[in-house]
Amino acid sequence: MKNFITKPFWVLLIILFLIWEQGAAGLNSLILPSIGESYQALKEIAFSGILVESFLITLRRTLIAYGMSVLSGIILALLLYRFQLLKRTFRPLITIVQATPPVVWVSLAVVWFGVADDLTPIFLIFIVSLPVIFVNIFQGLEEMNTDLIEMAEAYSTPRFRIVKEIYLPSLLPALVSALSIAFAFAWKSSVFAEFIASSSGIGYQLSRANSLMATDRLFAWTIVLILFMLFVEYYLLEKLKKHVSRWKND
Amino acid sequence: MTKIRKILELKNINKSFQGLKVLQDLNLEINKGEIGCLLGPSGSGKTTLFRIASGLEAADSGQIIKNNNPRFSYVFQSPRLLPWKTAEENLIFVQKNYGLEKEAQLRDLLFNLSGLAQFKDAYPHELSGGMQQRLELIRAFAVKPDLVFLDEPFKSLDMKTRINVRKLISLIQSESEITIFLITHDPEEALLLADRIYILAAEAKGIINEIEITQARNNRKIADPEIYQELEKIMEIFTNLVSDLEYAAEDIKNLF
Amino acid sequence: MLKKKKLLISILIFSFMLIAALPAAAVEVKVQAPTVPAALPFLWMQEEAELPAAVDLNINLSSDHQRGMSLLAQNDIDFLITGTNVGANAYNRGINLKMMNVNIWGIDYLLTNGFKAENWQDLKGKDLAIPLQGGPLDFLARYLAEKNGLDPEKDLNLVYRALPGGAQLFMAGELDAIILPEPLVTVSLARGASAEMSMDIQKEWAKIHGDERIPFVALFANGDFTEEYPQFTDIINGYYKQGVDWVNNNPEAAAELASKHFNMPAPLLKKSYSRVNLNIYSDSESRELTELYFGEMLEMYPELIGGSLPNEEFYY
Repeated sequence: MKNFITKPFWVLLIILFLIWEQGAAGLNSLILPSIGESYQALKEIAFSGILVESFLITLRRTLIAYGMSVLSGIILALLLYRFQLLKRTFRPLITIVQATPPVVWVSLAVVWFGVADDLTPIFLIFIVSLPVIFVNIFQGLEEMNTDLIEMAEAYSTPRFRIVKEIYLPSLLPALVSALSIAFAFAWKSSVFAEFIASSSGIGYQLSRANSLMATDRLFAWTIVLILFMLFVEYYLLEKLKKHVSRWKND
Repeated sequence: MTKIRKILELKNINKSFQGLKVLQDLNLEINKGEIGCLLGPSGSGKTTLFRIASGLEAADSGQIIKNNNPRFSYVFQSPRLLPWKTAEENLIFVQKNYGLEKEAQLRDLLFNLSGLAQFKDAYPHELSGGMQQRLELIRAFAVKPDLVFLDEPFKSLDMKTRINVRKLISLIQSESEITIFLITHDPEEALLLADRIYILAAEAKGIINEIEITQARNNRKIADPEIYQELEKIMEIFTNLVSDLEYAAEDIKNLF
Repeated sequence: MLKKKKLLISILIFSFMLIAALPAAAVEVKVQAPTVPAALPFLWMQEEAELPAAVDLNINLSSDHQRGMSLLAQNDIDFLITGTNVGANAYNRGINLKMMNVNIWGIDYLLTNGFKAENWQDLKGKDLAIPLQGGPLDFLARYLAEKNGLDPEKDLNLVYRALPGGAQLFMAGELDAIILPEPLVTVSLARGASAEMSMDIQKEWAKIHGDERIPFVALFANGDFTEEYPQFTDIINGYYKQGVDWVNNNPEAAAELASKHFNMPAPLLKKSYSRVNLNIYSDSESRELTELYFGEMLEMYPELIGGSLPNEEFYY
């Protein structure tokens, strides 16, 4: 974590906290709960077990859909890279999917999947993450250094070794970058879809806090979301990125 | 007299690019155990010929005859090293294709000869351009090749490194009988290293001259009269290839 | 001579302009109400009754309770008709409002699709749609389910769909069960191919508390408005009571009026009123029943009411 959270950021964070506390002192809990109130609400949801329960539900949906989109994205990128006809046919479609606002997808999902609790978030995550993965990997493939492949072929390297020792390492940075961006999308989409269409999960809890005007709870859940995102981005993914880039010129 | 055996023969090679004929009925022989050189200015088609001879590209028509299925290896103009592998791993990568990955002694020897012994575990981006090129070179030898193709190997090297690399190639060749074939546009390099020089010209779409150098390689200097004579001959050939520009003297005077 | 005339005319014109520019003594009263019978007294006020000229009534029919509450909080509307607990929750969270009266004491029924639920156990594992998250039905569904041996989170799939969307889904056969207010109950029974009336929510409540009356919906007023215009507040309150009486005494006319604004056929609406208890009871009775209801809510789902019983100031 050292590389990311450097001193200037901590200073900024403290300043923001001070502003928050100052602002909350003047306004009632409905508009801006104080740090204490938010923390209180956080404790409540943690102790009642709803925190862990909802988190696991949201996480489960996110991982399923994310996994599907990563797999499909990679396969799609490979297919479209290999077969020009497929590329010309489907590439614009992916752009169209990407251009459609997520809120449209959620609305459609609600109509199509009715009251199925899991399907709507899973669908939304999938549809939002797939293009991201695809575009990144596809670009990685197009930017592949063909000189290296020619060299390997000239030296009689068998096909599978070329894939394993040249294609894969070559694509790894693009892949990791794709994974990172797509995960952020996936997590946020999950919560968004749950907010609108589910009866369980963090998004649903947010929606409930919203309709009950429990702003302190809203803050508490938001803190949970942000902390998790930070953890994934700056701990897990950062480690992965470092491992992959160790041979790169810094 | 030792019998000269051909390791690779090109017959009646023709190649066109986008309607432009680059090579016409070209014939070339590479002798085993020699350092052969293809000398030509830019645009003479030497890269094309090189790629066809080394099997990287196909000719439009003609024959390529290989004697005894020789093992080829390559030194490219700019290093084609796998960035995610260390120097030694890069060597192992190609050695594996021929079952030679266990030949650690050979690798050590090559690293020592090229002055890269301390950099066995370094990644290519940690090496300078010259060092990368040297690594490229020893990789070619690491597979125990029969014929090594070098594409302008001295292009980006400074004088000291050039001398170094020249000595290295010369030494390895004389002790191992590996055939070397390099292309270059620099007549001096050709004269200092090659046993046989083929001069290529775009105007002729083929080889216009063949020179054999008999002096021992480690003693050659440009200043040596025989060598210098050959250099003059080569320069004359090239000069004749270039058309006379004198006709434009008047225009230049007027326009400038 | 001409100059004097000109001066006079300009003075006259100026005075006219001044008078015209004077703020009208009339007060614009903005009301938001969902399309339930509780809105009818206001519609009656606007069309049939003769309000004092000073009152300029502006009614917005909308089922967006969230928005309504935020408009009320920001003084953009003066009166809001919504669930009693919605108002109490907002009050407890610092919004300045007052409950003028509770007007709907019976209006909700549980409908099922393709089967009849004889008791709550029959609903185990089914989808149950509720029109407003955090509203009275959200509480009642959970409350009644629990009192009848079910765990609302685990044994029921509670789905929140705003009206009329939820009703439409139900009529299309996409939902197992739904709790609806009239007149959507009558409409759904008429149009839903396999819709069945399974439970009378009021009776279910009576099974536990002896009295069928549940303080569902109330009229809330913006606190600032009541302070600034106490007379107008009383006037509106009074007319509202009259309006309630009018609706109960003139079902045909009320149905016609409703039909005009709610976009539903009058005969259907008239039929639905037989299942609605729109009434204003005495303050003390009303208060007692409300506090009982809130008390139960506090015990089981305090967050639906904002964590505590609203104090004196809540009641008008």
